[in-house]
Amino acid sequence: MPFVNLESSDGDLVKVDVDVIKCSVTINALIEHLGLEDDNEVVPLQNVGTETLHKVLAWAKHHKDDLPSVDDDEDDPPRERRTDITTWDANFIKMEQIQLFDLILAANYLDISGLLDLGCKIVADMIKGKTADEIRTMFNIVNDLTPQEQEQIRKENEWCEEK
Amino acid sequence: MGSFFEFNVELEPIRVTNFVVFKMASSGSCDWNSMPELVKIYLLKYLDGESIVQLRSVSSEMCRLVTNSRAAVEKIQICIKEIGDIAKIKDDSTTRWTNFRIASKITDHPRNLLTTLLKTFGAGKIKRIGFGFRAEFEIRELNEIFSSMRNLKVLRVYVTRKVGELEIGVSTRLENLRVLEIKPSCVVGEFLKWAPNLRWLAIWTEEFRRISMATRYRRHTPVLPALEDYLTARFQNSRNTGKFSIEFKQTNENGVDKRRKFCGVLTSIEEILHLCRICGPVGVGIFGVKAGSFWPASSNLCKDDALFGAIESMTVGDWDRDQYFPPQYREGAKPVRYFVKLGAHMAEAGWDVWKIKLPRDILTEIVVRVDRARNEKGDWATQQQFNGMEIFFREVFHERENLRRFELVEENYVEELDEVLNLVGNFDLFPNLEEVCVTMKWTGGREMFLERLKKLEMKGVRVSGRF
Repeated sequence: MPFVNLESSDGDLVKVDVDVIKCSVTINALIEHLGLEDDNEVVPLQNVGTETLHKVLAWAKHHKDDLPSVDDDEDDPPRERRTDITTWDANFIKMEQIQLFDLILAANYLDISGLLDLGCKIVADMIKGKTADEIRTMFNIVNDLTPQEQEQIRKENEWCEEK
Repeated sequence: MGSFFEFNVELEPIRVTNFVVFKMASSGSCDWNSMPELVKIYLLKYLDGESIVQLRSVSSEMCRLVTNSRAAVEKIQICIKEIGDIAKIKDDSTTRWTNFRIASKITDHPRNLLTTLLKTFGAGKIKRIGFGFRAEFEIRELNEIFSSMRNLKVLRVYVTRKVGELEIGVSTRLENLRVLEIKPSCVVGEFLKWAPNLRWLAIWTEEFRRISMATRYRRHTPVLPALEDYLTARFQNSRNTGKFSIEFKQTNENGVDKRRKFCGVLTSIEEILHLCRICGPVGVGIFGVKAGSFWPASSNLCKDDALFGAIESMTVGDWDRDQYFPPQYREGAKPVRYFVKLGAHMAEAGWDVWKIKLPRDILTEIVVRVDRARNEKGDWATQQQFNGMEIFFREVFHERENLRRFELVEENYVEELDEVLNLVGNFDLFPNLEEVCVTMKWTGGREMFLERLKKLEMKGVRVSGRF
């Protein structure tokens, strides 16, 4: 079965090579459990809109032949530099923030670790170097900390800084 | 493609603001709360301690998220300057801190301070600990103290060694220790016996102005036999493990002195080759190899991919220049960045780089930062040094099929660049170039270069920067 039909939450059908979408653990499991045997069978993806699905498929197509990623140990300091984003990925991920979040949600739902990594790296890059106020503005988060909590955090943060 | 490149022969500074490579488009709104908690926690993996500290102050949800994530709390480093701080930190916080740094200028004896820390927070709870350069231990003290820290993952420590301690037996093994940064290099052997499962070993080495002094130091610093023993014992039957890397760090306490120095550990080509022969076949990466010794060896290494692949980054001459050659990225599918910083002593940079022999042209990105063309006394670089820069540019910008991105940052106006930049004119040598980012202080004398950039943009290459 070389192809599978994916149905987005908008009801659109997208035909895709199974080889391309094998990076998704969720879809692989669905294909296996639903026992899809011909090209007309449909895999419903209720949490992924058509636009996001196309984005996911574009990413999956480009990374079809990638080797499985090796988990980097977080404690390897210079290895962090290896998490550089390729030019293709950097261009691919240039999108509105809201689309980026949709893509991350889709990657999470479809269980595509490479794409989830990419999205999270980009969001992490957006956070890096920003103050708490700037982070709130960026993500539309309301500061609901009480003055006492703020004071406690401020005091604890002082220990983190070298004077 | 929107045109944001302008060329102005009037030498009016051109400001192009869209020069951040991975800049995200701004958004009207996006709902952070719609993200599943697991994704938010996963995202923390990519944040450094400093960002996580900021995140805690954003909202109660963020604070809870960080506090409940053991991995995130581990990244927040708590600085201790005196024994009194320890009780205060413990009493004033409900967070279970696990990552500590003992400040450089402590007045208390580091042993007493560490003992108090272990008693207060629990020896088994501490995951990461680092010491300032002045907090030195004797090996005997360390042996006693660290034997109780069974869950330690990261240790950055500086050791004094007394005569007579050479034969101290190892009483403990830190099975969970993944990162070890140690100074001086002469005690590496002992520490390797403590740490059978390291992922990262950083060795501080001394630098010397004369090769003879480096060689003498080397005689008393038997790093290579210790490393060889460790690697053989650990990876005897392994192939391509990739789970262990070694980094060589050079002390640079005299910040002003930028003269060429010699590394006290890897003083000869033979030693580098030997290290590569040990590390290459089992996939152990070597970072921070002093390239002054490496270049002459590179032509031999290039013939053997397995050996060459062991070298992952190098430090060249006196500046913080790294070259990345991860073997898995050789086909150009992944970024291989060549980063070079040029300063007053360009001749050395030029000559070093001139000797680079890259197998199969693996570079996809070149970043050049030009600091200045004057030395510390304010003298202009000599003609010889200028020639070095010219050679460098000719070498780096020769035909490169996989080059995707080129970035040039001129931090101060460097007159010598006027002519040199015009050499980087033949962009046809880079058939896959996608992006050029140039930040220059002055455009005069560089019209030819700018004209070529303009043509590049017309061809569809993304041109950005500030000039």
